[in-house]
Amino acid sequence: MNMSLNELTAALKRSFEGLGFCLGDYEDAARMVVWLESHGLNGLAEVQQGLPYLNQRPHQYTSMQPVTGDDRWVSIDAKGESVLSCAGHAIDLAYTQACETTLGLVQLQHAHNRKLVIERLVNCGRRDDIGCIAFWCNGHGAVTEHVVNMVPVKRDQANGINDKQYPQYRYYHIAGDALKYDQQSLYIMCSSDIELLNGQLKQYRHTVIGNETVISPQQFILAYAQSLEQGIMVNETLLDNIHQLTQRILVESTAQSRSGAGA
Amino acid sequence: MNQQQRPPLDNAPCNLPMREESVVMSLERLGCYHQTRLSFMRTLIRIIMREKWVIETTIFDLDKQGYGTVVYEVQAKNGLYSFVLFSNYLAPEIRNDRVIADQWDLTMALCEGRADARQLEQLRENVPKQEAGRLDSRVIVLSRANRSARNFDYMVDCLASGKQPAVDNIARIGYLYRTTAVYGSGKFGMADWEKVRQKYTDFARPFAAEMFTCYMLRSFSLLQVQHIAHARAPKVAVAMDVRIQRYFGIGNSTGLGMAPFLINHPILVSRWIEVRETALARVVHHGEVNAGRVDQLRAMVAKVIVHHQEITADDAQQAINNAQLIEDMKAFSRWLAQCQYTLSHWSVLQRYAQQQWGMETQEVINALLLELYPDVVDPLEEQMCAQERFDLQPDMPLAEFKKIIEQRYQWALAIDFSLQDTQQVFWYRSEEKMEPRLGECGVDKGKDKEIDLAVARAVRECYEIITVCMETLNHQTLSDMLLEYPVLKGIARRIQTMAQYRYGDIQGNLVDKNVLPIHLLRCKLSFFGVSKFDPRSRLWVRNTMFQGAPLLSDIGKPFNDDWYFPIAPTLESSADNSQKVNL
Repeated sequence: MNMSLNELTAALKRSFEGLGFCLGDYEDAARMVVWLESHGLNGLAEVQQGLPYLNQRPHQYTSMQPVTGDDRWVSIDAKGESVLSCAGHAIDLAYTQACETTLGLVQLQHAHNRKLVIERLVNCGRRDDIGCIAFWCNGHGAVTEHVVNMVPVKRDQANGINDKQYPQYRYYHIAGDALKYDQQSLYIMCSSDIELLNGQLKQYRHTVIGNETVISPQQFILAYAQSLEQGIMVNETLLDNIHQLTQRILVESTAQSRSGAGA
Repeated sequence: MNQQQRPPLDNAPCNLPMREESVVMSLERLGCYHQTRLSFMRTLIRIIMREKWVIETTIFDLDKQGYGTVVYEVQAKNGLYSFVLFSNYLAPEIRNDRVIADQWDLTMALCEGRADARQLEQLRENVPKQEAGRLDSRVIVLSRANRSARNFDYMVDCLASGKQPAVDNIARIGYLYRTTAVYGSGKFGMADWEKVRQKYTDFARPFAAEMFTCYMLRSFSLLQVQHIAHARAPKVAVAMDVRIQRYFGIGNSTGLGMAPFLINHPILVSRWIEVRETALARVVHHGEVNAGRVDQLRAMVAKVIVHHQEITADDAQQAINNAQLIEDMKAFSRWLAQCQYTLSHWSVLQRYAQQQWGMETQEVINALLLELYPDVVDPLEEQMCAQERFDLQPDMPLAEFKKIIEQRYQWALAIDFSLQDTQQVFWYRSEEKMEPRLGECGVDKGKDKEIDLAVARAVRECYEIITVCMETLNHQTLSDMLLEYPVLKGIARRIQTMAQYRYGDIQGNLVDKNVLPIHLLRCKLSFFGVSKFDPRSRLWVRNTMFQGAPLLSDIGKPFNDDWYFPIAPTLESSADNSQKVNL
């Protein structure tokens, strides 16, 4: 079924509310999915993959205080949750650190659906003159490293992208036998010092061994324009899932309840 | 960014004192607002008339009973649109204005471009199903309407027998159809608002396309009733007098669905209010007062009095309010007469009104003051849009965040939520079309599925946790607190965001036992530009749209933009019956 972005966002909000996400999180989660999908990165496939897992484990809110950390990275344990419910908090922490100490480095451990973090990164990048980078890797044997890099809006005016920020997203194969960081984590870096930020990234990035894909801000803009023009196709299985989750937040209608609508 | 740093409206004077948010945003006052010349219907009509839109029927396929298909093509300044309408027989016993209905007398859609045969078939298949149908992104608005059966039949009878209808009847019920839902913003596969804003710039203002759909519905209703009369008695039937036609509007029933919109779009609401208050501040502080202006205002007051005398409100309280308003308006007129040559500043009037009269009268006076100065008010009409985005500032020190709450949400902190009545009701979505409903704790099911509309209570809870975080946990920043209490993210960023807007959140406890949701509905409807509010309960309200507005046939003719507070036309009986139908 073809849906508008607004309609899909509203439907997903209700689904995530049905999964136990609270105000703020269910809105963000819906935006994360729709952003990815409307910018050509298959957000719906990502969420469809994660839904059975999310469905088995209704979301429980607990403290997300940092668990450990070396002298550089502050670590938060997502405890196997999707980034849909916790990446925003991790990015906010990185941002706060960057405001306080120039550089914010946060490791989100044991988080799923990491590609969905991009929308939150874009959102963070809209703040002031901050730069944000997220990276992670996944796969067994053939490991793929993903790097999302937000450039502060003021520094990208030459490209004519003034009112919105778009990231550069690249992924590529790396050698999986000598990883520099934990494969189950999502790493977030924030700083207003872009050179410092890129310097940090160099320390962690691996050598590209093949299949590099780079998605530029311009490609994101074009993909979004097409989605806005035509809407988004949602498959029947996902629609059924959305419908079932939405049922959880609806209340049975009775003659008594109709009086609560003025009948 | 604090309030002082927030950019002002374009061209807005920076230093004009504006009314306090505690005054303007109180729930009770929101329930007293009236249409102004910045209301969306008024703006729409001004633009149609100014730009001379060309609106013509390209398909008129109605049978003698008025059932069938009609398509209008609309050539606006920046684009071509089609208004497609299906008229079907509806048995009186299944006619239902509630959102849960599944059949209607009329269903309609506003689409981009010229609707070809294939699209028309798609629309014919889906539009009559309304929520159960699917549309595509070429469709901008979907709506439906039910006939006011008694009024409709009476009008047909009159016209078919060669008579004009009695104006008194129209004063009682000023419409032939009631619209029961008008959908836009991407629902059911239609075009997203962002697409409308970017691509269909003729409708790039809040609810402009939705209001236009209602305007076209009104135009159709007048066409249809005359068509049926003519089909019934071709040799006898007369056309409806154009003055009577102008006095017809479109009925509207609005229920609780509007309430969550207002709570979930506080930036937009704050923007609308700020635009209107900016206009009022311009007029009150810079509007030149002279005897001519006072005379003009008195003439408007006389019109307001007649308008309200002509209203038949079934709701007892509304009838009392209308009667009081009439008395106040008479007193206001006398006061104006006394100080016609001495009144030097409209702020004197504003202060006097606050002392002498109730909120309803004050807000009518404010609406009338805006009418006096179209040159300073109308340029604000294009500033009603706002992007609804809550931004978190996680690095904000908790002490600063706490101070914001104390400064901007004093109204919420003043509510004692330990009292049962302050949390006695809750909002939920019914499984019937996800209709928002109001439940009572201990009586209705659904408390565990409550919709997050209790902003005041959430602010209070957040405030109490801040104190714990600062005093016990030694948290320094909002980010620290949100890692401990992630569930507070939603309300925290709302508080931070709304603190940047002059008027901020609506100041009312929506879960109080005695909450009156119709205040919320009235607020939004006033921005739409409706008139003749008639609450049917505390949960829904009937009203009339576009009554007094120009007709399609008036486009291109001189336009005074004076159709607010419409009053019944006075007809010369001899001339009325001579106009033969010429459809």
